[in-house]
Amino acid sequence: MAVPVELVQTLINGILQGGVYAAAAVGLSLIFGVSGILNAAHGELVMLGAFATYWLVTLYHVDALLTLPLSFALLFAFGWALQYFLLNRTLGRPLLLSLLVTFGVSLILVNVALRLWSGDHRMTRIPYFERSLILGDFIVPLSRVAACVVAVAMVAGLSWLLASTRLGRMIRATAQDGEMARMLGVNPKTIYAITFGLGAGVSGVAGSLVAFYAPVEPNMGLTYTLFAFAVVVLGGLGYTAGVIWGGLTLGVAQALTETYLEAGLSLFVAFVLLYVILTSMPAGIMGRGRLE
Amino acid sequence: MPRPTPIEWLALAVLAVLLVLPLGVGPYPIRLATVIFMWAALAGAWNLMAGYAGSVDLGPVVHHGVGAFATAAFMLKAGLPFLVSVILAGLVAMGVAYAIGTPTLRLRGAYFAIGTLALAESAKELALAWDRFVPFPLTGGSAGVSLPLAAGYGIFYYVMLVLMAGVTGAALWLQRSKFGYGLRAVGENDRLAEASGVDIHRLRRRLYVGSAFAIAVTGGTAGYWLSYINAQEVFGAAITFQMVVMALLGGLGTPFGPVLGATFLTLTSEYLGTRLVYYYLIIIGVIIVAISLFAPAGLAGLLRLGRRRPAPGAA
Repeated sequence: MAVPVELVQTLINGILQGGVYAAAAVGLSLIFGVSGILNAAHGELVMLGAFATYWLVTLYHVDALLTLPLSFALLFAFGWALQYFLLNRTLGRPLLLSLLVTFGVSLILVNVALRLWSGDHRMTRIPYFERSLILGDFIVPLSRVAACVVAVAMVAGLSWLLASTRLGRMIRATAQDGEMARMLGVNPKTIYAITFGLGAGVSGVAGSLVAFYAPVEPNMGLTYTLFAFAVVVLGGLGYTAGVIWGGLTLGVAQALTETYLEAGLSLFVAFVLLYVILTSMPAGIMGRGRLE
Repeated sequence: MPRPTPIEWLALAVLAVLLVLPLGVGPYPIRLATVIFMWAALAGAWNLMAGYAGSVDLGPVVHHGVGAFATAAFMLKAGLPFLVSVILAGLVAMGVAYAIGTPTLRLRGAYFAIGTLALAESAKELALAWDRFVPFPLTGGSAGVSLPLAAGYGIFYYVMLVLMAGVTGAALWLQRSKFGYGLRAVGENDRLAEASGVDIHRLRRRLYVGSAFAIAVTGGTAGYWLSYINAQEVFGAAITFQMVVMALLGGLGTPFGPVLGATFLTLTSEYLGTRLVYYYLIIIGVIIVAISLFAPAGLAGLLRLGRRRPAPGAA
């Protein structure tokens, strides 16, 4: 029996894309799960990470893989400051307020980026990623493999950090009951700032991974905000490792739509999928999300 | 019916002046006023759901887009006059809102917000692809649809004024009626609502369908005014964001808040947009952050308008 080449190639593309979606969403899930903040500027963090890699590679000829820790550090500092100086003031206030503040921040970030770097689409040149693996009938671009592998490793690392380290326990305790954590000697405001820093850092790295294979521009963020919402809901809100399942589902569903229906419908399918899961299985496809 | 408060007398006086304004001023102030009325109607309709029923809808553009395309279809395909078309489009949007509201309104808090955002984005993508898949072309795909040019701008001024006044009146009525009291008393707490025998789902759906009518008629009117609509814009998240920002800046859950927010932001954009073309969105972002952090009750809170209530932080 012949291998259905087209189908397998489509699945490979979907899985590779899905890994990056998971990485681009895990920060949103972490921040919402711990601080209850719906971060409307999430995609802009991805955009900043992507630009960090682009400029480091283009201007300073830093090795592409070496830009990942730098991108994490820059975005960690930015996210920490954002929570510490602005968002900690919204604690205990309605959800809408943090949504509005982060929306204001996203407006500032996009338009500052447009002023500084213009609206041009910029492609990062990384010679050793410009090749593809040929596996029999299948073509797999090296840049996408690298992006997917790093993405999955990062989500696993973050899950490990939350589950098995002292900092992880402090974060989980704060997420469960901030007041109780405070009585046990954990300062929730510090933990919220570190959490936002971590969330922003991994989103920045996700952006850097996107820059490995796709063009970078200041308006790219909104798409990633919307995809991150979709991935987090598919995986289950508040269940961090669920983003892997959510990302793969979204990536594969989009790839199948592009191959067998029409490229123009792939966003439609993504959002209908999100809506259907939300109304019928609010705990996510694995049923492990937190219900309100 | 209780007597109007001083603020409401003032609002009625302003309304009376606005009714005769076109007799005394030129086209530019009329155009600017029409833009303000339009945003006040949109933000006010959003405020009905978010401020009075506690449901943060991030997809009100669904109704806006349906209204715009339905109005265009009634005018271009059925040859109906504008006012008839726009009312029919409002009714179509009410039907759509009833159908999508039934499952969506069961979602709570952040889930409702994300669900409605997903609906709006799906609607946009569907509208963009519509003409390629459905034998009855409607949206013109990414090229959009052109409408005939209107004879004058007066009609838009008055339609938008009526919409703004109607939405504001609905908010005032909600503050006083049993219907609005029931909605506010239970807010987001469904179990409490069930225990007190209020069918909150039905109340909320009625409000959702009603505000859909106002948003759709505003969208239809705006489409005819600009004489060109395209799915990317009329279903665009930018319109939602602007509605939300204006309602919150003005003061969530206050009847005149959205009017204040729309006036402030439209005039600011008009002023900054012509003088500081490159920086005005950055400045708007800074204003949004500053007002939400330092004056969370909005402009109405700063001016102490609207109903008295505890500061949001005390909830």
